[in-house]
Amino acid sequence: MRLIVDPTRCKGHAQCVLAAPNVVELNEDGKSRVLHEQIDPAFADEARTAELLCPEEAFTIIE
Amino acid sequence: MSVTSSSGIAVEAAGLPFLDVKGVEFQRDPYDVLDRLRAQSWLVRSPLGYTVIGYPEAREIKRDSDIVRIFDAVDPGLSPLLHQKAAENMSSQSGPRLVKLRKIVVQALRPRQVAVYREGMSAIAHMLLDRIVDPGHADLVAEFAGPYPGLVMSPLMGVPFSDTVELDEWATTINEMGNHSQYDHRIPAIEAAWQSMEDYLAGLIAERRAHPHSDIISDLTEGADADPEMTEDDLLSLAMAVVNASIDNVRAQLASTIEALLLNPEQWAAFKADLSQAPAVVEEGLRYFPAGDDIQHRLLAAKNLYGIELPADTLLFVSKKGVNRDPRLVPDPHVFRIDRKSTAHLTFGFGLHACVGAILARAAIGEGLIALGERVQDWGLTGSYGRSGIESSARPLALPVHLDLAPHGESDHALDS
Repeated sequence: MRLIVDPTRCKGHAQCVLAAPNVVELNEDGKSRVLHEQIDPAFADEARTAELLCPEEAFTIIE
Repeated sequence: MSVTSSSGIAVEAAGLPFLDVKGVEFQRDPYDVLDRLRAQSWLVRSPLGYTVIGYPEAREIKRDSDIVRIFDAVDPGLSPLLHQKAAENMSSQSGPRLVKLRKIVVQALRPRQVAVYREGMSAIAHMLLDRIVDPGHADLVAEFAGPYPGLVMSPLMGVPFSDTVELDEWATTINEMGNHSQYDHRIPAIEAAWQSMEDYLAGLIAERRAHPHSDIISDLTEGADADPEMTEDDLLSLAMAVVNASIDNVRAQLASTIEALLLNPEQWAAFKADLSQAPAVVEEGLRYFPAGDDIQHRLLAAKNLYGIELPADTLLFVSKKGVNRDPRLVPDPHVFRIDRKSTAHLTFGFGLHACVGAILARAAIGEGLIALGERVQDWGLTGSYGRSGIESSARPLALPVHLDLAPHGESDHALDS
């Protein structure tokens, strides 16, 4: 599974970081950055929750 | 820009100006008062604590994990019941619990679900226009924006129109909790409304659990039941939060956006020429005349914010009127312009507590405006009207207008369906 963030949509609410600390972090600009190209299956639920909760719908999941 | 700096001045010694939200001057022209104060300071003293009126500062503060959002903090001495309910509200939660609760609400209000409700919203807006008795002497608050959001709860919740009258009354009373500085005398009425709405929703949840429908109560129940950690009280609290937030705030925002269009005929004409601009009109209305103002936060620890030392437990309010009209957000902030591309206003908040029902609110306001755009051939204000300027009550109290209404192609919607 891959998680992709659209930096033009991300406004830095950081809901994804709260929901998926093993998958996403904030970069220096306060925007979301996906930590690993391939999501560890153990954190797949975290990634889905991050995608779901983003108020800007900035994430895409590729299974 | 850093929120925290190494040395600062104690907030009492900072000589901050006072924002008198109950004062005549603020009631008459809040934006003039806020402009004058913002020229002196991004932070002002206010009746219950301090209020942030600068846009970039408010945005940074909303990202600070030491500053938490709280649902209207009711003094436990004043009302133990409302104090407890406010503490349990989703807005007052943090960490993994906040994630769990938001997840359940978001699943009920995803764009696909909200799109299903748009047709019902539009039908209700047209029905209200059909029912205007004398278009030459109409009131778009009493006859349109006022009843609209309550009636919209009928298709959303899958309940009869007749039920929405009481729901609207309860939710509107409960929303007075947002009038932080002046609700003391309303406590008994708010407590009674809270209890009545909880009883109603508890019954509806039980019914939907037994017989699921396509509605937000069924979706919330299904989401909560799928999580073994969610209790019956958690589900009820979520349902209360969703229904409460969906009625009076939408009413205030729709009425205010209509007001802005009436006051700016060239913008109304531009909208009417191309109704696909409705989302941009909604967005500019949210920025220009924000509903549900003065959002409350509490400092978990002592903080130095831009050189001002604030003690732990300080109550910090964010003035949407103040931040949305900050020239550092958009140029010419006092001009209502539907061609702005900015959606960075703070009317739906920002960060971990950004409004979870924003998609639904935008859809409801947008469908109301589109119905007006389709039906109103000509309109204009015919008299003066009052405007409540403060806190959660900010809105026009009436919008007396003359309307030239086109007939509706399929105007056969009945209230008793």
